[in-house]
Amino acid sequence: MTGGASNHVKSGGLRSIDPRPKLMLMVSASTACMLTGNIPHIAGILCVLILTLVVGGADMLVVLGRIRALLLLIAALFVIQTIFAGMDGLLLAAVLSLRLLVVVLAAAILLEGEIRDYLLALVQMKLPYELAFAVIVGLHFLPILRDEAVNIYCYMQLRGKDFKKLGIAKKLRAYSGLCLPILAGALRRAYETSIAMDLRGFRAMPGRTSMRRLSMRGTDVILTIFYPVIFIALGFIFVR
Amino acid sequence: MALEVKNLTFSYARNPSRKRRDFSPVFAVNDFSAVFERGKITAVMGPNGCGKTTLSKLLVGILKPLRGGVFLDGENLSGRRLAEIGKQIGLVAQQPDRQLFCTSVSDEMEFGLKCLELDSAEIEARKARYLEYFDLERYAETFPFELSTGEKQRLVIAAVIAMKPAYLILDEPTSALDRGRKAALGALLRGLASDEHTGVVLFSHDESFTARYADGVIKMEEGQTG
Amino acid sequence: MKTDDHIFIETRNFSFSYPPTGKGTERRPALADINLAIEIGSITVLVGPSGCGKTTLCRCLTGAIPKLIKGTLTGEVYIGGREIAHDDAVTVGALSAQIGFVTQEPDHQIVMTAVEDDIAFGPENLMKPPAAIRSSVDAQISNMGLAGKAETNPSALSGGEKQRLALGGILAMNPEAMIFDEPMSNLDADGRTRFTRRIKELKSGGRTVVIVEHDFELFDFADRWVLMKDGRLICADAPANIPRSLLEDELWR
Repeated sequence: MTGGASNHVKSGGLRSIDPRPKLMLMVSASTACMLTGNIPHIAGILCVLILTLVVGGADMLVVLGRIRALLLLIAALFVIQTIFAGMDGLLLAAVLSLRLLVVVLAAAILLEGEIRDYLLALVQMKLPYELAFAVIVGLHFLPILRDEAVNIYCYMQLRGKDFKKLGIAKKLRAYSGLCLPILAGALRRAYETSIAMDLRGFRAMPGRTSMRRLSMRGTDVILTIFYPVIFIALGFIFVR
Repeated sequence: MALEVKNLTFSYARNPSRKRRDFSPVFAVNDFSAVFERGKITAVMGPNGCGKTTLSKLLVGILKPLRGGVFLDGENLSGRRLAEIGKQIGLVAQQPDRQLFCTSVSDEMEFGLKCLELDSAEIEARKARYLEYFDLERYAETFPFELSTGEKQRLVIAAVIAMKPAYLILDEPTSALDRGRKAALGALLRGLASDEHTGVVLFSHDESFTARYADGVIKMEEGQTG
Repeated sequence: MKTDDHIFIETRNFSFSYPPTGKGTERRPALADINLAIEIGSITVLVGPSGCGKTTLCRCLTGAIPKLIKGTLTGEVYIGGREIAHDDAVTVGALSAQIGFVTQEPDHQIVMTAVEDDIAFGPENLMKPPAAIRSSVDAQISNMGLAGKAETNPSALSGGEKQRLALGGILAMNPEAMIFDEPMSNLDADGRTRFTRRIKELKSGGRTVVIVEHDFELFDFADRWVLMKDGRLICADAPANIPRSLLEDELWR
């Protein structure tokens, strides 16, 4: 099997929805939970997000796999805060953790879509295209960097560096040796890519056209309005 | 004495419950067997995407086979640490950028030699010899990343060869070398095979190079891949 | 000063050196006194040992030197009769409509997350109308043997496919001249044959082609081989007219 196959995740559900309702959901959910300190309100927002994922047909196992590390981090933060602040802090810690959960879940919903569509959506929403591209090119590099780090780690060991045998100080020094090729590689890649982009006419003209155009269907329009409305409505229900 | 590959099978099919959004193109190796003898230069050739790079990573233990195994002088590689394997099997991978870890060419040469715990006289001698052979002495104090691609490729080859591994695996070593350098590399590999009894495995597209320097050619077919 | 009508690319008494590195050592010139005229619709192959200045010369022809990569430069470079090296009004982006450059590492050139988007990247930058972009993208996808992979992430393509994608992305901009830096280094025997055929097609389509390649013998059909050493132009002639001794020995010493 080649890696290409996994790019084609099943379509339909959340994946077939325009990126703009998802962006709106992300913005309105995080804004709403930052403005309110009310636990039932934030919990309500969380429920809406989880429902969205389930009804949208997201593979929950995959979603959990993606956000697992962040969930652990949130749990750890919660425990630390309650230990240091006692019962008074419990409420505060709960609010903070729930807020973080909202942001993480909203991001998980964003991940049920293609980067290229978000790029197009941002450009169609009149965001300066240079900015949108900077973000996309950056995102594009992250997995490449990770793969490179793994490769470099292996090649270093093959040249005889035995990480298991080193003491802590030496281990740290050896790991810092890893940074050099990763950093040098990243810088070179960024440099070469920026030149290649210019050679392909990037920023040559006062503007830019797009081959594809996203258009919102009825459901997309409804969802874009639905999310901010429901989050505000939840506020009215729970906050008196 | 040989590096032997028996019924090696590998694919990147992943556990579907943890879908990685995937990136590098990866090619499978399917039921592949071969023997790479010491003292011989064996070329492995095949079309793009036939799994050559995957095989090179399997040979040194970076990737673990799904079935079958790699045997170093009769002993299965699985379970051995990369740092141990690396002392016996040298790998020159495709991108030189990923195999340079030091702030000067001189340190780069010493990196592996120090890991072998050689005495300083031996380290100096090997370093001087291979820097000279690969025409890199004048760069001894240069930052490796300032070198050109061809120079970096030569530096990696020099650093790995200086460790005098029993087996040497080179993945497309001539891709950035001009013909003068290619001939020098070919002659050195021949010398290693006959004088040091090194087993050389050469993954290459370069038919004129392999025809000239290899003792035998193993063709990987598209069919050998999954 | 206007150049001859049948010449597309020309350099006159052109010299260039990269800026000195931190250690205060002055670098020797990367290019010294290059006089080269490349005719419209011709194939030129740059030949020489590593570090002889081939890649630097290509960068000068695309305007990347001196617009993006600075250094000390004397002499002139003309593209389509216009001097580009000293004219600040000429930008790399504007030149991209005339001269396409295919990098050695396709990974450096591919920026988008889907094959069709990447091919569209250049024409979009040039503000071509969307419908026209769509048709040239579709044409390049089938031309480059990438049918069925329009929405695939380029990172999942094989080396040969990536290279064809990089080429398709440049061809979609429809430049008059194409420059290739080591195009064969990632290709297998089959890919090489296909690539040389593609180069012949480019020529018959009237395009000017410049290629930097170690395996220059594969381009025996080129109009000219240009031999370079230590930043100087040694010989430029039809492949058959170049002395064998020069090619087989002297050049590489």
